[in-house]
Amino acid sequence: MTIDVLSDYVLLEIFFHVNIRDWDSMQNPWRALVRVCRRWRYLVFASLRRLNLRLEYFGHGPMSEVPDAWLVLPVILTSRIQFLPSERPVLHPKSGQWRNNIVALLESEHYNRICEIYISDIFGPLAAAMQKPFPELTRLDISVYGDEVPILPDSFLGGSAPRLQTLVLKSTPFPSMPKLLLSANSLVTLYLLDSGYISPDAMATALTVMTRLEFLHLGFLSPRSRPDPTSRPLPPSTHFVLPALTQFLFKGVYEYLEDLLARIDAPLLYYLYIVFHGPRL
Amino acid sequence: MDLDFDVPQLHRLIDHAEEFKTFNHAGVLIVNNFIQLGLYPNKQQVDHHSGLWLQIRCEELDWQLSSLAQVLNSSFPLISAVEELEIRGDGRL
Repeated sequence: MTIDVLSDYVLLEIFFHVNIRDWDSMQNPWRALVRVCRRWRYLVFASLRRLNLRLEYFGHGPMSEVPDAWLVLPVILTSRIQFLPSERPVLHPKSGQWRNNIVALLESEHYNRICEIYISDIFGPLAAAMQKPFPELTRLDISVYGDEVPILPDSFLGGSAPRLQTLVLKSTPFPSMPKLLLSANSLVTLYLLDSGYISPDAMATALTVMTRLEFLHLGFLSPRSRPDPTSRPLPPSTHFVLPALTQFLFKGVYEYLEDLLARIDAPLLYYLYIVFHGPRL
Repeated sequence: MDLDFDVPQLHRLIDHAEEFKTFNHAGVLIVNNFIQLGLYPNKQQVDHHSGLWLQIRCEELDWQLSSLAQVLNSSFPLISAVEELEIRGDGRL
């Protein structure tokens, strides 16, 4: 008996479980499936939604070399390390050619199928290429590990991200973030670490639109996040309820947290992790 | 030194979260550069993605204890429910 005796239905069930994309060691496994035989290739491409296929683009080659059949897929742009064997030399995510490929994708007609972005190196031309709305973007993760970080402009993402469900910014200054957050009413996860100062009042106002928010991480690595004591407002008499928030992590000075909490409530919290910077000397 | 952890809004947030009211175990960890309080429902089932964890970063032992004592003043909502308290340190105690 060979695997050919399995029905299409059974094969699709197997493919579905193979294609669990969050396994770091097995990203994009459907690309191996379509190389096995014509039948498997047909089955996979006839079941794009069932298998939740995504095209992970690592920037090692130009998009023009991607097979036509794959160009209908939602795109994940990532600078994460690729674990699967690559058909071409792997470019370092800070090399000039890698940067050119990434910018070319962002400026191509394929940009409006980008659904997730993971980058660890935000450089000027890349930030410039992202000054427009990304209509399918549901996840944006920018984690910068370097000294030279451009400040994201007001028009980043066109100033609006209504479909965004996850936003992760680490060491990425973005002064206009409160404005963007006011449009992000689909956010489920918000993770901001050392990405510039947002006043507690502006943050609280942004949170009022996030009725689906379940996970909030706010981190300031230095005591500079302390609000101006002369401008701290009196606590309002009512609090906005974050109805879905279950996990809240905060790192910073207690004055900031107090000013923020004066505006919000989270009755479903089951995880609260707070790190206060110590007493002033 | 300015010791003035005045956190009524934090107390209110904790008081309004129903899940926290089931927490009856507490642990205090005191190490070189921070003091940390953990509150959770059952010592046998410590889950580091749930519970209430409060860490204060400072180095001097008296500052650490004074800071935590200020946060856990008489209006801290959960203290009266604590049945078991474990204190661990790094040898300075």
